[in-house]
Amino acid sequence: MNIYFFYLIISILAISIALGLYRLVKGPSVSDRAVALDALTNVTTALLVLIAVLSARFIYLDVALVYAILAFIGVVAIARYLEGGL
Amino acid sequence: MEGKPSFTYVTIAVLAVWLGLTYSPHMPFNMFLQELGLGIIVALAVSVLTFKNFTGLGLKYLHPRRVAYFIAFFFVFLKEMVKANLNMARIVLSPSLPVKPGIVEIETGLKQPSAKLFLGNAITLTPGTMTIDYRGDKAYIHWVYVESEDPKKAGEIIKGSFEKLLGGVFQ
Amino acid sequence: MIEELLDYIGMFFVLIGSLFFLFGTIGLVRMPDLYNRMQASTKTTTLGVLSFLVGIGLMELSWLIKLLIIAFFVVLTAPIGASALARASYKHGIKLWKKSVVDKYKEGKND
Repeated sequence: MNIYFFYLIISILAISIALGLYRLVKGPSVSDRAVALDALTNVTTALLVLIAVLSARFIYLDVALVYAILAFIGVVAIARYLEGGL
Repeated sequence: MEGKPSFTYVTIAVLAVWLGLTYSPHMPFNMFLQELGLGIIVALAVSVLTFKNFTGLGLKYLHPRRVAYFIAFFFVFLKEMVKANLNMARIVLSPSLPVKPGIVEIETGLKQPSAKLFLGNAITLTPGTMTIDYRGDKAYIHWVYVESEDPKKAGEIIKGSFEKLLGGVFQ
Repeated sequence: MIEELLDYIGMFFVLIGSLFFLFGTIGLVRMPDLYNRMQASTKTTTLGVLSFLVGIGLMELSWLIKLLIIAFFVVLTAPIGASALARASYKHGIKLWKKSVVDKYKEGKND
């Protein structure tokens, strides 16, 4: 477990989140924002798992799992809303 | 075959999911037995309520030939997925952004809804293609770099060997 | 010895995964229209999650099963969400990029 390696990983994830946030703020349409949110969700899931490893708590993985499930439901809900079925 | 629910199949699947979710490392054995007991009760309750909604072949899915096809499908899928992502990384990082997008139409010979679902998911995760909709046997695919607009030729390029392998699993 | 080796392999996978996140979000910013953005971000971040979680699992071997469940779930749901969103956006009236070469979906609308 090399701590500098984790600094590197966290910086890469931070740059990714910044780029995703740019699209989330700018995105001309609702769908663009939803796509950005979807990508950010995946990055956040990875980040939650990384936090679980760094703090050595197995139970934190459940947070990542529930987050992934809720994000999927959120994306499908947005899709249904855009299609006019909600 | 189609539309015949299988109670046992749903129960086993729900129980496996339950055990995977409640498992934790260094778990004492009596605790595992508790989880197993509760899991069986929950799995029975869930499948009593929902097994009518799950249609398909039931326990026949666990036939060795189908499982072998599924494993082959899985490895081909992983290989294609890595290839797709390297391709996508190349497109994204090249300064000129070489894209030529469009929506093409392909036909599939698969009949079952679950087989179509797997095919659609596999297409979405592989080289530059994304399933948008199904209308009957026709699938509409968004393609980052359109190589052919003809349904037959495009279908051959996009589906690759997925359709054959999935046909082995589901039919 | 073998644990150290697994550690290094895991670190490699984690690095690959986070680089794919980076590529995906670069694609999200650079691509010209919604559908291309969706392609770039969905695919790369899905493989990113898979690679990242497998890497962490190789570092902490006793966590591997649960991490594989999370990865399996993400790989199963990401394309469904993307397809649903793409179809909904199309029906909502979001146009393809003006340089797109073909649109069979629109042509087949009236059958």
